[in-house]
Amino acid sequence: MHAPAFGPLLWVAIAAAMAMAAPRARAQERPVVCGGGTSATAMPFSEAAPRTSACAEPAPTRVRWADVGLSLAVLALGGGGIAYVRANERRRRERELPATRIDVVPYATGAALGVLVTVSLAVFAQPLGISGGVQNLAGSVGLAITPDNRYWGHAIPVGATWSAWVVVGVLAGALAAAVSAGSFSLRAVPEGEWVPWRRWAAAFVAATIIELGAAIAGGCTSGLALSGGVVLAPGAFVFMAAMFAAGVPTAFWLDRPAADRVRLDGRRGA
Amino acid sequence: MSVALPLALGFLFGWLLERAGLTRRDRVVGAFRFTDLAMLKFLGAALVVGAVGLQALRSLGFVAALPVVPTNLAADAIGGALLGMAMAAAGFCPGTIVAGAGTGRLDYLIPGGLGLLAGALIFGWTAPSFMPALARAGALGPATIPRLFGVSGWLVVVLLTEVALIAGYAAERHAGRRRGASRAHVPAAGARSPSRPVAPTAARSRS
Repeated sequence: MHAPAFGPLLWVAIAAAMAMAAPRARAQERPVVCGGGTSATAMPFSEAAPRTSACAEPAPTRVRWADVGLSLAVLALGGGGIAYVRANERRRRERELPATRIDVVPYATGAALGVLVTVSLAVFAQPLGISGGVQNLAGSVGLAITPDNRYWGHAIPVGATWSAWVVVGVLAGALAAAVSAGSFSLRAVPEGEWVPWRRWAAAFVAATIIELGAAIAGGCTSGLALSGGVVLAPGAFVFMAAMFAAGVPTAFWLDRPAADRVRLDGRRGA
Repeated sequence: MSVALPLALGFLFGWLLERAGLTRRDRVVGAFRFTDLAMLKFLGAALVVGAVGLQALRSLGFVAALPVVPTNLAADAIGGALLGMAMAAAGFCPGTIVAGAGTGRLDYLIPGGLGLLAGALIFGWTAPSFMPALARAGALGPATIPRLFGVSGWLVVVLLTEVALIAGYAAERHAGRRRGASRAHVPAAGARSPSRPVAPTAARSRS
């Protein structure tokens, strides 16, 4: 696949936008029933939220100016995108630069994940998440230590829930993929120069913060950002923005030129 | 509850995470330094395909109800910031900890797995004291952007697709230019700075 293929794709997107902006298409749209369903990753503390106000919205019958404005934005962005792509491609031809070879693996695997999350949500009404299943499994441990806890068993289910089995499946799937590719091997640290005990300590602290953050937000990269993003939940996009707003400075700070010889995350510097 | 279905979904998910290379620490950290955009391409492609697919299923009447994650703006922002910070430092997220453990990475399996357990335990023990108040701040319930702003879902989906396509194009162009600049015989390749910061904007607009 060469880069110019993006141009026609943009045209398709614009054509779809114009077709879908037609009032007929809107009238067919069904009202979406709200509620987190039986999902284990749904935020258990959201009872305070006004659930009904966002759901009981009557079907629109007249021109909605928000739609018109958004249609214009779609067309402007699409037109701008096409102009950008064409100008870029022309410049590339003039300079006789070699055509870009695209590594399609990230896109192909990502698209397959998109199909997977569609099936998970549409057929099974379950978000495709990890952190929720971890919470269900941890709940069994937590209840064994503190049986009178008001969170496990009340706000979220515990034990071998749907999400917990997804976690087991992910482990098995990655194992199968690694074995079939011949890349499976027991390794104590990632690629590169590491101080093992420091990497392990950093990994433990980081994983603790990650699960804590995921539990506060109500899902992790897959359960909230992806499973929420595909249904256009605003929380998913707020979550992703916050994730990068905090992650980008962290990554650059850890990798700063003046870093110690052994960094905070256990990697050996130059 | 059937066990086979979630197991199969998880199996495919884990397979894809490993195939996309997201069980490698460098790849996840690279996404936050914009040196390796594979994770952003992976997430962006999944978001677009899933959003278009679900919107199509809804429009065609195949799906009446979808589980929508409730939005709690304050909790989402705080949780996302905590997760993003730790993810950029360690190079994994909950999904890739589990997948990485499956590929034989002991630092994912043992400290990573114990950390997940510890985090979930700490949350379970402390949540009743702070979570109700935090979840009330900016709580929108199971909202979606189209319902929140009263716009057509298709327009939002197409807008998302356009942003992703343009970002993807910019990312591939940038990569091509960098490769082109490294070849000495290509004329005029040095005329353009190879480190033009295209990737950060591309990556940010995706998220």
